[in-house]
Amino acid sequence: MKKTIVFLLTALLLASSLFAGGSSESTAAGSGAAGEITADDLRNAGITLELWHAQTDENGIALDKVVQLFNETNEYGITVNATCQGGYTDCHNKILSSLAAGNYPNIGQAYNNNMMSYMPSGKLMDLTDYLNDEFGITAEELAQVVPSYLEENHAFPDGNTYATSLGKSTEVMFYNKTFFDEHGLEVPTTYEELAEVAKQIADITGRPSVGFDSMDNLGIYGPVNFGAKYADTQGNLYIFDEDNIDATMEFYRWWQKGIQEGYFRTAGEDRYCSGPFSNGTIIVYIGSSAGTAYILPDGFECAVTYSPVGKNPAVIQQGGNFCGFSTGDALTDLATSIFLEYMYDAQASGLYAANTGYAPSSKGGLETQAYKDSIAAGGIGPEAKDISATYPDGVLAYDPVFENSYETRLALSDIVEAIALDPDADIEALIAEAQRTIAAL
Amino acid sequence: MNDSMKIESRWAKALVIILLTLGAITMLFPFFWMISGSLKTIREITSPEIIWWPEEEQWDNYTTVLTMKTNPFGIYFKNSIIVAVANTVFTLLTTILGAFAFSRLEFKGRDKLFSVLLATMMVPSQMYIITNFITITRMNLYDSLWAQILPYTASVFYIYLLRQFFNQIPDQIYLAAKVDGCSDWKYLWKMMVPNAKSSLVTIGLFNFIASWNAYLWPLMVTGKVEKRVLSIGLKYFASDSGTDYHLMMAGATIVILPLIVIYLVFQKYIIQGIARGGLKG
Amino acid sequence: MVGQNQKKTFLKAMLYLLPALVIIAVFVVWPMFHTLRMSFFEKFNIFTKTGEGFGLSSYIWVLEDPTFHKALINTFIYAVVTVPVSIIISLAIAILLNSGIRGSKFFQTAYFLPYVTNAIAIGLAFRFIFHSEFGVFNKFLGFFGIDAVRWLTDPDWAMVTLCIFGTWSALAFKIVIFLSGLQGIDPQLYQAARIDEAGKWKMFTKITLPQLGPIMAYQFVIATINAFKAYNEVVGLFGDDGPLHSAITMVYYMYDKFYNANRYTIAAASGVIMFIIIMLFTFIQLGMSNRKADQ
Repeated sequence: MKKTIVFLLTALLLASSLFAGGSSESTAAGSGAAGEITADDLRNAGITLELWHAQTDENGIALDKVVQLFNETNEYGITVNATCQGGYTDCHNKILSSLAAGNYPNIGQAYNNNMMSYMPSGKLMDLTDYLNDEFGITAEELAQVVPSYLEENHAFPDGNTYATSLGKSTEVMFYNKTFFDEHGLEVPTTYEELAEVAKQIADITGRPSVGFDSMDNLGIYGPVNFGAKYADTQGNLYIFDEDNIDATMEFYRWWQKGIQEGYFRTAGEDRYCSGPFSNGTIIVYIGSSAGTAYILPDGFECAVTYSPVGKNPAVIQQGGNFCGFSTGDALTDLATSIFLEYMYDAQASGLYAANTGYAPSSKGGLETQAYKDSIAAGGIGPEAKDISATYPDGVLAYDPVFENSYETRLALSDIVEAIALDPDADIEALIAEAQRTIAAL
Repeated sequence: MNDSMKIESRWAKALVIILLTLGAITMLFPFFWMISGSLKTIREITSPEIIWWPEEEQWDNYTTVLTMKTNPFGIYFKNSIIVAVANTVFTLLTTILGAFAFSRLEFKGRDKLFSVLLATMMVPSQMYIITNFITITRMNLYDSLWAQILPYTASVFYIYLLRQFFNQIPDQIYLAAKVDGCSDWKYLWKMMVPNAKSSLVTIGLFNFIASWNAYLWPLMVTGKVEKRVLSIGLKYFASDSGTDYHLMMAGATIVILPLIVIYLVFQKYIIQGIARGGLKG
Repeated sequence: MVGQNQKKTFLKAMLYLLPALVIIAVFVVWPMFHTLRMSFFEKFNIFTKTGEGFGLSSYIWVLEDPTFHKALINTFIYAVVTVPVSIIISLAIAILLNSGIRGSKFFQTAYFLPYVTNAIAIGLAFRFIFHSEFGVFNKFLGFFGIDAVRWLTDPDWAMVTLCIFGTWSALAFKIVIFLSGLQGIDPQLYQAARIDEAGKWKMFTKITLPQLGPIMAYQFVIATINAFKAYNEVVGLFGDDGPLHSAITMVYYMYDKFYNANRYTIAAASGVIMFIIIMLFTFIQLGMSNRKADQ
């Protein structure tokens, strides 16, 4: 056995000295090489693109429809093959590995913070110039896109656009209408009113009955709604600095009070509030507009409305986006950009929204017949979707992407979760711990 | 049965039976709960009340799961069988050859090589995945059943197990056979392998089960629905806003049921194999 | 002549080992080295396979990270609890199964069944069972007047829950092995003891336990290695690493750093640290059991 240890240690040393040195380059793929290419060049090339996405089940079918529509209608003879790669985590892992292995797709669906990790490959396409070239989306069409979606897609450290969106969900508020009518309760529109109503409901039900689905979202947008600034794409965290700490603390106390007095709760082991909401143990919850398939009211009427907001209204928009990977071939990359821009198309986003719970990326999508029909069908799903599509400009918010945004988000989420789990938690200690964690990154 | 350990007193017997029954309930209850859940409606499965058995069995849950457009368990089932069988056949082959070399051939550095191999067992397989993905892709095997079969066709653990068994076969027989001019190759297949039948069946079953349950790796190397296996199907029930628990339970039952059947059929072998295979290192 | 013979045997052995060695070299050893190499960089580009800042910075970072400490402690707790507990329970069950009662065939089947299951699939069933409000387990405890425990959401209880689940799923395999071990003990040993009029307990400590010695050592080693690699159990039960990461294990930490945070060098360094810990433990255990065997 001793020999084995010696062997392994020797191997360890050997390996490390062998592989020392070398440095990495991290550049994004060049953009807007379209230069002298004409539409005819594209048509003659007959380009086929691979798309890897993370939409399962019905959403996957809806995306297939969009891809099919693109294949049939694009004037450049581009064909896109779409395959579902599992959920977002799986899809991300596969894209990552495929970039390392060299068999990567042309287009991928991912969260923007995951796209950050594709950058060192040098393959992630900068779309900034493509968006303004003569191919694909026009300036008028671009103006129709929900502004916060456009902003999110260039909220990267270098400020370039790396993604486009087809549709998104937002947080909305679901409530048990029967219960509200029965007890003459007012539907809350602000955080203040929400706490008020939550207290009243808890007095009736005898248990915390107002839930928040996502601690990750609350950890950031709770403080933001109370007036704090979160962070920027350069990785500067503002949420705890002297200009913002008061607002942040105000939120934490508001949240802690709700937990202490037993009127706020989290989804806990049910993972999503939709389950306890359906069986009547939760009366109001704030969750994703796209999660309505899991709301199955047991003997009551369910209603949905805009999420309550604080004095600095901010409601998160969520969902993955699409990005392109450069092949080095100008024609193929141009084709990729054309498909990515197609995500912002009124017809495409309308069609997608019509068949899913997502709001269309283009406001023009709201006017398509397919979308209108889907809303007219009625029901909690379409209602939630329509709510998510009609937040006033400036309310919808998104997470800026920076180097450690994933871990920063987790650290903030941990604070609100810790308060939810232990009503007597020491907020200052939790903040200090989160700051230590973030500083160490 | 070893009669010297038998219990004679009636009271003691009753106590043993009660204890064993309680234990058996603990072991079996999760399975019962899974099957019961798979026949419930989503409302029943998330109900605050305990519903031991659904009012009306929702057999439709199974048809739904088997024929889902984007997640067809029927196709997965076929692939799972192909992958598990192929994987098991190859593993047995490499295991038999490897165990023979380590147990009978006195080559230089044998023990050293063996301890190094044993040390690799301590590395968590999660560590391999990225590198192996790249390797598989370079071999042009991405999105194939081969990608799921190949990396697991050799196992240090099984070689270790079989070597233990081979070591128990007396050396004299081997030496006598050698004197008679029997080649190693012939000796291995004519003497060792038939003797080790039940150990081999056990190893085969272990491997089949492990292959059937493999999760992270098949998920990584498959993209097309046509190439997926059963265990990853479970992954596709969860979305970012909720879960179809009743379908998930039906899916879980479909994943586990074949294993239970195989187990019931081969139970004798598993126990015999381990008993004779001599884990008494 | 001898040298030539040796060479011949060596070549022959290599031919026999070739299929296994090729597969292990490509899919196990090579990734290990790749990981090892990554762990010594401060930053690593997995696409170009180049790194910067060669040294021990990732190791220092990991060793100073409180989350890693938690993962380390949790993994130790998990191993220290589930390994002995599951060995004791499974030995007891194996002895009961071997006591010649009627219906032992049925019981065997029942006890071995969990061996064939998938941790992720059965973990889902456990989530329902452990639910604090609606779960069967709390209702059962309530029957005895025990207050509801938040098995899955209380950070103080998460490790307890994980250990219960881990023990449950580890029992079957051990029972199979112990039972076969018990059945392999030479009956004459007991008969001799009976003539000496030794009591049951004495027979257990003087015959059964020593006879099971090697199996016991084997079980300890394998179970400890498996406990250190716990990951599926955590994901199956909690879906993530538990409330406030309270059930995070070393493998979970490594996985999260690699795949979610994309901090490859950190993940690799934690993997190497883990490997070293497992190796040390295995050698200590092997050394201990060897010494016992010598006595």
